[in-house]
Amino acid sequence: MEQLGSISTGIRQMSDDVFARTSARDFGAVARTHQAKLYRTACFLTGNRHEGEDLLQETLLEAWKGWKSFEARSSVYTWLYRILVHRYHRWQRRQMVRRVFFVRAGETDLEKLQTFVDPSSPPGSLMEREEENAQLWKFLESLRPKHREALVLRYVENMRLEQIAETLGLPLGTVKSRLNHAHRLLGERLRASGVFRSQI
Amino acid sequence: MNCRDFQLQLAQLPDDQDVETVAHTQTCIVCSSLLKDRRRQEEWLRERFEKASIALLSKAPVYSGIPFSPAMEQPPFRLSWVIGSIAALATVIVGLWHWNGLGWDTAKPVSSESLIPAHQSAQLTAKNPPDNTSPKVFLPPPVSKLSDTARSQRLLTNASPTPASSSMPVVSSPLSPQDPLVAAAHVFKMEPTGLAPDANGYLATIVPNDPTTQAPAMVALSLSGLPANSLFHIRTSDVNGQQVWLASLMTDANGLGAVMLRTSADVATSQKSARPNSQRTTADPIVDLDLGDDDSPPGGAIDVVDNTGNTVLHVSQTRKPKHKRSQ
Repeated sequence: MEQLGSISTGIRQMSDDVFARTSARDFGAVARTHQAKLYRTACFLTGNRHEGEDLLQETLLEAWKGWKSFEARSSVYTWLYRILVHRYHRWQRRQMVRRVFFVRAGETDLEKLQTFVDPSSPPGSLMEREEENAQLWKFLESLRPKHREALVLRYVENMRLEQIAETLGLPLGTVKSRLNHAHRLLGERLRASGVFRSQI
Repeated sequence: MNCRDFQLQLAQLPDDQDVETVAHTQTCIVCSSLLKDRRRQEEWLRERFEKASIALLSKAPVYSGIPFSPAMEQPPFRLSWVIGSIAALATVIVGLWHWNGLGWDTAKPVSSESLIPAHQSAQLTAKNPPDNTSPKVFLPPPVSKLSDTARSQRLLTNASPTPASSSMPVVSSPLSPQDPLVAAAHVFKMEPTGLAPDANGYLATIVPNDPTTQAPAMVALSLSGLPANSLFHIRTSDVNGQQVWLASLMTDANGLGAVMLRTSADVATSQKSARPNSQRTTADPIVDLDLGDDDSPPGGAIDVVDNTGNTVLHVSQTRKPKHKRSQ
């Protein structure tokens, strides 16, 4: 009986990715399963629906290309989020480069080009549309990307710290430090805006 | 556990509170307050994220229609697309060139011949019989100077194929089917700077033959030998000498890139009638893409600039174009 119990436990503990792969058989099923959540996370990271859609598409495309080489050493879930974060980093670098580059140009050029390079101004900006959660979007926007991604994975995806560390490819201590920093900022922000009264 | 240990642990946001931590918060008011504060923050975040998530998920795009089928498993080879695009572009340019009577064939354009009276045409044929035995092959030489926009516009206005000796009435707009589609077309080889000695760039300008000046002129750039997957920007100067950014392009994994620019009809119209800066009312910078006549001040060169602002390719202003043709 003990043997049967351990086998049963072993099966339950089997990686959900292996299960997902064997049951889903094709990438389409995996994509359909995770795309909504990936989109949500992409929107929280970029702060913009359109950019979120683009990020989702890039993520799915990259995942599709790498689907055959995926060895299920981590869960499909973690793998997809790792790709998403990777694509987000690339997006972030592009944005940064564009901003730095176009700031060098003359004012006229900058004004002309800002309509499509400034992530805060294009249509679809979630901060403008969702008045109810404006405080949240404003706070997210004020965070540095590395703190934002840790916070989003923690509270949107409800990932455990170890999972976040695996997804971001960081040591556990770094993840803790980033989350703590984000919390410190949030505490200051909420106390300053009167949402929380000072506790100490 | 003392307060310092607790705060250190709190800073590390453990998923599960151990017994010691719980016991400490029951005895220490400050630490208990800190823990409550952190928990409230977490609660606030989860609540807000959940609300925002509902709104986002309700409008999430659905890609269920995309078949990730085995047929799609071979992604298109990027290089072949790039080569195909460049080949198509080259074909269009050469085709237009040929249509305009500028290339390969020494025969007059159909539109020119059709406007010459039959007897004159016969005389011309008798004086200059077509040399079919040794067809002159004309290849557009890579020249490194842009044509003047104003001159292009003059070419455009003079493009009506009316020989001076002809007694036939001038054919005016609208264009007849026999009119050439292109008033002028040039291909320029861009010169690499020391930063990208292996880079190659070709720039093609096409000025359509449109007396109404509504059809935009086009400029196409084809670049190669540049760093892969890098962003580059096309820069020129407006009439006041200010830098103007025309477009950006991302090179592919093989360092190839192409971009097509076109002028607006507004620009074409204003430039034809007078100096553009006196005509334009919009705030857009006035761009003179071309270098002007030899005695005009330099300006309007097109540069390809990398992300750090360094020019990697540019059109030289030192040499005269080896070839410029019009009707």
